[in-house]
Amino acid sequence: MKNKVKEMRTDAGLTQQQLADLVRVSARTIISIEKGQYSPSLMLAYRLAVVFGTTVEDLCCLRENKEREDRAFEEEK
Amino acid sequence: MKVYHQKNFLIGALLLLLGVLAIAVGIWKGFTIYLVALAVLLLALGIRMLVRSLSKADARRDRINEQDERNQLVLLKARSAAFRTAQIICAQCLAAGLLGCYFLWETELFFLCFGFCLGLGLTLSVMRSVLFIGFLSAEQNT
Repeated sequence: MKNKVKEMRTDAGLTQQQLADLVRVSARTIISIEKGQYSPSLMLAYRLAVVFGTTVEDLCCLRENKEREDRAFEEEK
Repeated sequence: MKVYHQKNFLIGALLLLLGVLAIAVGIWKGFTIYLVALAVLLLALGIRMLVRSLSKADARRDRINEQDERNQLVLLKARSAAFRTAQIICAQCLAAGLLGCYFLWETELFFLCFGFCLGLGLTLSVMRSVLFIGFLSAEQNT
């Protein structure tokens, strides 16, 4: 799932480990989220949004991801 | 000296104790290369765990890793895969046992294989069903 975690982290000048410490997860989890290999839980997504001063919708690109999934679903039908 | 991570402290102490026991066995029965390697490994791991449990920063990092949601998901997937693999191996052992008994015509072996694999396979399936119902009920009650 696409997200803006890496973009916002680099804009904030944080390392992956520093961000992981702020939201109380391992650095490996941050790496997986940035690569789109892992979708964060609601609480983790909210913690990340609070750190970056944004909303969960914006951080996780929820609108775009929803549209992509809807398109994929329609194509399968 | 404060213990910041009790679980790691206990594991470290246990590993250290096992290492000391290995040395004691070596003194009593004589040292072999495997025993020396085992003792060194146990002592090294034990000391490392103890040191980590007494360090505030390391204990915090270990606690975060334990509670990390992705690590927990990966652990859950690994346990599930291990369970499925055990079921498959059980089924294959049963099939191999039946085939072997057919060609060798060893009735005792047949009942041994059949009984063991059927028992283990049934136990695994029943456990899975019970746990599934248990988790569902727990979710509905909360």
